[in-house]
Amino acid sequence: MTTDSWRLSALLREAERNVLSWRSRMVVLIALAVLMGAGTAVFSAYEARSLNAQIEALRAQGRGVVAYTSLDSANPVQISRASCEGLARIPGVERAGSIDYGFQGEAATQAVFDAVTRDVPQIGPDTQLLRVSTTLLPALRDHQTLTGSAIARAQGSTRILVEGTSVETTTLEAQPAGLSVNSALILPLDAGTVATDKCIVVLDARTTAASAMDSLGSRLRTSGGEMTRAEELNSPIDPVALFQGRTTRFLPLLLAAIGALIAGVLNLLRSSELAAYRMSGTSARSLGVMLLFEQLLVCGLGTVSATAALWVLRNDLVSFASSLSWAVAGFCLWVVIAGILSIPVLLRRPNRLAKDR
Amino acid sequence: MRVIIEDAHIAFGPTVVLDDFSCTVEPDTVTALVGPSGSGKSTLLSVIAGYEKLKHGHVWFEELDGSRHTPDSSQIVWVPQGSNALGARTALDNVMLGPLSTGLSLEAASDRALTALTDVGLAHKAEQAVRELSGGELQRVNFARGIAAGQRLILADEPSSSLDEANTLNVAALLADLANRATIIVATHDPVLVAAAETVIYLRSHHDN
Repeated sequence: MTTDSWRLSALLREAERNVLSWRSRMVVLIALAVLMGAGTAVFSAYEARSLNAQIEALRAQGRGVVAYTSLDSANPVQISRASCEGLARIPGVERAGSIDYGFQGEAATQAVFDAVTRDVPQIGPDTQLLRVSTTLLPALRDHQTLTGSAIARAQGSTRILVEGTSVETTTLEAQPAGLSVNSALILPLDAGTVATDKCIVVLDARTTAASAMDSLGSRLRTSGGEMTRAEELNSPIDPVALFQGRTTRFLPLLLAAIGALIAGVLNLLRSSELAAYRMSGTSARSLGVMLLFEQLLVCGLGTVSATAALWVLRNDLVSFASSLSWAVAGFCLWVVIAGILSIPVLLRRPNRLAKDR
Repeated sequence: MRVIIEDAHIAFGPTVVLDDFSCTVEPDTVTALVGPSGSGKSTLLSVIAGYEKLKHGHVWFEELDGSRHTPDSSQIVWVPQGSNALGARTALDNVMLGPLSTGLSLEAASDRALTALTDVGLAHKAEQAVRELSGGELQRVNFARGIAAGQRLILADEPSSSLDEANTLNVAALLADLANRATIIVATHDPVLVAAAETVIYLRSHHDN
């Protein structure tokens, strides 16, 4: 039986000297851990970018755009504007608001825009006019009108003549299908409008319409006919679900297992060196603690590398915390596997260990 | 520390290496274990170190007050045949392993290690990486580790097997110097080391009988 008296601080010093020396073979392991940490961060950013590209493509086609409107056009529903705009404050909702396609009941309040279409010389004849909540198109807070991207002839702010009246307008960036605003001249909803027959909700990228449509609809106050709801693009592809279930999320664990295997091989190659500890009265337990400290140092450096790389790439990630958790889990797995793989070295008799090469 | 071996029986499968072997190694002496290859020298050292167990018989460490206990590998230092050392670390770091394992502080261990390196004539190479030392110097580092640890039992397994004559003579001189500080048992074929020992124990090969 061996009962040595190593101090923990001295074992930690041994681990530090063995690991953080340019002359040591452990440099290979450090380089591997640092590369692995940074590599998983870069891969996380790449995956997030792919996910965002998929989501954006689907959003442009109307994924996540839910329209609440009349079930029967002969018996139109009236949706309270306040309740519709209130949805913009619900978590999971990016923006929401009412659209008035017909200016029902308000033509007299603003003479310039008393019909659905107008001849606008700078845009074209029969330009469609829409009134939209500022909670759905926040740019309306800063501009008198917005010009849909599909009909704008110039980018940025300009003035246009609508039936002889000069109004300021700016080009609205392309909106997802379902809002139907890209080919229209858009005005803020009149202050007197209390209800419209259409409420549009744009969900944020991580919220699925199927899970949110009914609960959001139940918050709307309606009168008149029955209301129905539909997502503009009902795609069977859910990139978020695919992303959450992807196999590649286990990549940090796989890399960690490979790193731990290499660490185990390296310890076997160091057997004759490690024998120097055992032959100096060091117990298997103390040697095990020292080897554990070595792996903790290596994996600590790897975690620092991953954290730094994730921080640099934080704006490109789906979730900094989630990516960091996977990296930390990977390095924890590394320590556990490397610890298990060091057991044969610890169990060998020191004099046999000394003869290993 | 006195080492007492009683009725030791060592066998590898059907091959008996030692049968009812008994001997006593007196404290603070240099004892040479001599015998042909396969006679059980290294195995007996391993048993004394506590690395291996006897199937039959006993090994006792007897203190000066007469109390006995079974082998404890934390109380010995093993000097190997080869160049077992932390190659990337300095000679000082390597020698410090012994005293650190006994619970000394870094400062105290460093002082002891420097003294031990001085004793073996290597103080000037204390900060040199061990992989840059010669075989003879490396063996002296191994002995210094034993001295610095302050252990009372040093077991050396063929310590001159990879040394030239000059370095073997150095090791022999070192053993003579160490005799008053610890009980030293050397398994060896080397007549120079045998001559340096105060006691010689001959092990026979059972294959020869």
